[in-house]
This record gives sequence, C-alpha cells and structure tokens, in this order.
Amino acid sequence: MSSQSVRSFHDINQVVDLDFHLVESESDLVPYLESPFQEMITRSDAADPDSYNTSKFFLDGIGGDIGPEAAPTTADIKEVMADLGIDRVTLNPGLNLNLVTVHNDEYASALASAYNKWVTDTFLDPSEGLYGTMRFCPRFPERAAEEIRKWGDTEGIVGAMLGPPSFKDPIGHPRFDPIYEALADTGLPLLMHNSVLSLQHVFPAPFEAMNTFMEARAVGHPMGQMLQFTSLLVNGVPERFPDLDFVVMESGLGWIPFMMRRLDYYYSSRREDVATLTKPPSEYVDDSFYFTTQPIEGTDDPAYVQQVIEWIGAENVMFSSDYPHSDFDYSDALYNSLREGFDAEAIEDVYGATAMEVLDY
Amino acid sequence: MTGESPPSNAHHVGSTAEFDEGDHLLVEVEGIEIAVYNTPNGYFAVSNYCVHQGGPLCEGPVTGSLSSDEDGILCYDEDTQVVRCPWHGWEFDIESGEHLSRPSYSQPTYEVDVHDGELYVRW
Amino acid sequence: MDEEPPPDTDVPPSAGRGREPYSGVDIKELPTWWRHAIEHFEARGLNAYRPARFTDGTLTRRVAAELEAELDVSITLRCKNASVGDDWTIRVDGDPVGTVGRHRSKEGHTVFETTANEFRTNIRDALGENR
Repeated sequence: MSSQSVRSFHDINQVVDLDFHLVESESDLVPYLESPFQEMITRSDAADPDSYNTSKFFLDGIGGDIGPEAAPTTADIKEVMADLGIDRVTLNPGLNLNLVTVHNDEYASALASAYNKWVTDTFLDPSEGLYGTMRFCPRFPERAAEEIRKWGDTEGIVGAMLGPPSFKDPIGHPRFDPIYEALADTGLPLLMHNSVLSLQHVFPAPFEAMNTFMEARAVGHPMGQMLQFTSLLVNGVPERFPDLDFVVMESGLGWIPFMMRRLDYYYSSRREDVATLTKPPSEYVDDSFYFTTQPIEGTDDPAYVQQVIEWIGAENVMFSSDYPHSDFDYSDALYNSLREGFDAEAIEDVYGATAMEVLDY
Repeated sequence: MTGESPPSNAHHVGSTAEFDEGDHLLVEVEGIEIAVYNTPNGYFAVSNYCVHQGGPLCEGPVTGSLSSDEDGILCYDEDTQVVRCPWHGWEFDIESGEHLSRPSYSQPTYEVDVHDGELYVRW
Repeated sequence: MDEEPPPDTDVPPSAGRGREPYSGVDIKELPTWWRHAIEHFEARGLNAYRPARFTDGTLTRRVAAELEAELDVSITLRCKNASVGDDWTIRVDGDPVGTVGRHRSKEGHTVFETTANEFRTNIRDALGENR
C-alpha cells in the first residue's frame, strides 16, 4: 500500500485493469483447434448446408459492440495501457464470451481450448504487464476441470473466465463441482462476464421484444449476472469451496447491495430452501465476491458512486476499463468519483492492490 | 421444586396434568400472550409476538427442520424443535428462542417452573 | 343495547402500524398492567406492545380486570394447541365457561371476536348458572 497521499490518478502506485477485451475472430482460433475440429472446419465441404453441424457463434441480436478503437495486437494494447496509465492488464475474451451460442457441445468445448492456446501464444507477457484469463466450457465439467488444471500454473494466466448463463443447469448446480474443485486446487479465481448477444440467444422471447441497444445493454448484463450470482450462493458453492474467489464483471454496481439484502431477506423465511448454508448470503458475498467497476452508473453523482461502493465495501471492488467497448471510460473518471469519499489506501485497493491479492498476477 | 412456594414474579399458566408431551398451551397472562411447550426436554415458554413484526408466532407449526451435517449433506434435524411464524415463516428454536438463519434475531423466552403439578412462567 | 364507544383510556396506541404508538402518551397515566406490558416488550426487543381488544375496540384486559374485581373471580383466556384461527377458552376460576373466536390483527394486536358487553354477559350468566 502506498503511504503517500493519492492526490491524482497518477499518484496511484499500481493500476491493474481487470477487463480489457480482445477482439478475436473465429478464424484466429482455427489454427489452434485440436483434431478433429480443425479438419472439420477447414475441410472443403465445411460450408455445405448438410455438413457436420459445427454450427458457429449465433450472434443475431442487438446491443453487442466492439467499440470505436479495438486494440488487436500487443503493440496496440501496450499503447492503450500507456495512454490510460495501466500497469497490468487482464486480457479477456471478446467473441469467446459467446460460447453458449455455439450449438454443438463438442465444438464449443474445442473452441475454449483453442482460445487458451491462442491467447497464451499471442498475447500474454507478464514482463510487459500483459496477463489474461483462460476460458473453459462448462458443458463437460470434467473436461473443463482438466482445462483449468492444464493452464492454472501458466505464467500470465490470472483467472478462469465463465461466460453468460446458459440453457442448461445454472452455474451453481453441483454437477459443476469438478470445475470448482479444479479452481480451488489451482488457486485461480472465477471471473464471470456476461454478453448481451448470448443472453438474447438464451432468453429469446423477452429479449426479442427489445428493439434498442439501450434496453439490451441496460438489462442484459445485470440480469445475467444476478442469475449467476444467485445460483452460486443458493447452491452453496462458496460454502463448499470457501477458498474460491468470484469476480462479477461489467454489470453495474447498484444491484449488488440490493441483491445482498434481498437474498438475506428471503433467507430469513426460506432457510430450508438453502439448508446447506451456514450464514446469510450477504456474508458469503463479503468474504468471497468481488465486483469490477466498468461501467458504473451515476458518475455524474459522485455521492451515489461513493455510497454504493461503501455498501459493497471498497475492498470488494476492482477497477476495470472495459476497453474497447463503448461502455469504456477513461481511468480517472472513476478516480474522480472516489477521491472525495475514500482514503488513499482504499483507492489503491480499488485500482490494483486488491486485484494483486485476488488474481494470480 | 415441589413443596416451595413459587416466587412472586411467577405467573400461573396451567397444570401439568392438562397437557401431554407434544402439546402446547397459549395463555394470556396480565395482557401478555405466552405459549408453554411440553417437550421431551422439558417445558419451554415463548412469547407469542414474533420479534419480526408482532405476528402470532406460537400459533405456527412446531416441527423438526431441514439442515445439513458437517459435510454439507442434507439431513433432517429432529432434535431442534422449531416453531415457524404463520406470517412470514421465520423459524425459532423453541428452547433458546434463536432464529435459525439470522441468529442476531431472538424471540423472547421465559423460565418455566413446576410447583405441585402447577406450571408457572417467570419474568 | 347500543354499543358505547371505547372510553378514552382505551384509545392509545393509535390504530394502524405506526412505529411510535405511544408518542404523545404519558405511559405513567396508563393502568399498571398496561405500563408493565409496554416495558416488558421494550426490554425484550419486541415491537411495541399492543393490548388485545374486543371487536368494539375496548381493551380485553381492562374489561376482564373490572369483572374480576366486581365478581371476585379470576378470568383467564387460553387455548391448548392453538393454531391460527382457533377459538380460545374463557375460564373463570379455572373452570371453562365458554369459547371465543380470536385472531391477531394485521395491526399487531389480538382481537377477541365478541363485544365487551357480550363478554360481560357471558361471564355473569355462567356464574349465575353455577351459583
């Protein structure tokens, strides 16, 4: 922790960005696909209507974007880091957040593995502050566990990324326990990042009725995260795996103190629904859950931002830029909201000190 | 306890002959409603105004409860007798008054004395 | 017989679910049993004490205490194995003399489903039969 006072953003000792998106295309991953998928994708008949159904990402919806200035190469990324004053960056999937939209289970799983090879091969370089998350596909929990164990010790891999909620079992279901065991064994935190386009695929009817980017974005991210967050808590995942850390990303902050209290409220009268819990849901959140900052609603009202972060606990909040999505904000926008209400130590925590403890930099 | 007089702050609520193990008795004493439960572990008295919002707690069912063992496996706990408030389902251990999931909430309980087959609640 | 409105002494706490039902009330002016019950509830962290009433708004305990003094008896209201909505038993000197409907109102006070006058009549009739 810095003992000097933090008078401006540039005084912050170490800035760690939890969420910088890569802009991979499917063709980037093809060379990294294992057999037999690479053969199937590159075969001459792969595009034929009756070919093996390795159906691609289904991204027909509203509210997805890459943003004005993607950073596709390491050189681009380093330039943005210098501009924004970021010391360590966590590179997260772009397209591969949407694995849930890939119909074929085997292919979805193969894509996750290919992504991990691609990202470690192409981008990760701790000496330059370039870190990243690995992707896993929960459809085969044992395989996902293997994948986590495979990459868990790789230098530069700081966490494991879970995408949006899916059609299949909610993520807290005990059939995913092998994944949590693998995370606990490797010490990687679980990062959870939603995708609006995926969510429209998973919940088509209500989302088809949305016809603006604004609606899809405003509702999609927090709604998806509320599902994941609640599923983990009521299924007792942090109870069974008390050493695991969970990082909930890119969904705004105001819903978090709300859901903590709402879940505690129901816990008062529905204890038997969750009889394996040994403490109220909000206590598990305090102990094991972290939340990334971008996009924060209400930055034109610093008192709101400060109050919400106080309610969550500044020690549970971690800075993210969300570059290059159009939700992205310059690093010192958050800083300006924090500086009136929080001391230097809390600001250092939010901007990087907590991330250094929670993730595997 | 037989043979001595009950203390002056003891309020008579009924006779032991009147209700068997498994029964409970609701009675108004000086304007205050109290339930006395006859359990295998003895008599326990609980306030009939739920600490939550004043609901008629002791008119709710008394049962065992779904719990989990030290390995996190679901099991049925018969030993803890739980009364569940009819209004919002808040559950209290009738012996200790403790709320099962929110131990910071506590339902008032009272000492029960037996003198010559008569039951007294003390406060 | 026309029902009289409850006397002023029966009026606090104010109807409804207000948090401070005794604001503006000097509790020392209330009958001892009432003051003691208020203190009893406060000491135990319960919501404010709201005494039981008959359907005409009169206080059950006040009416019963007056009858006890007049007739030199003790009156108890009780119910074995009570569930929501059960009738309670009226006992005079330990003997059951009848039953009365009862419920806990959403305002938080118990209602005995009879009027003060009916209650008085029932007790006096029961004693008249037994004397």
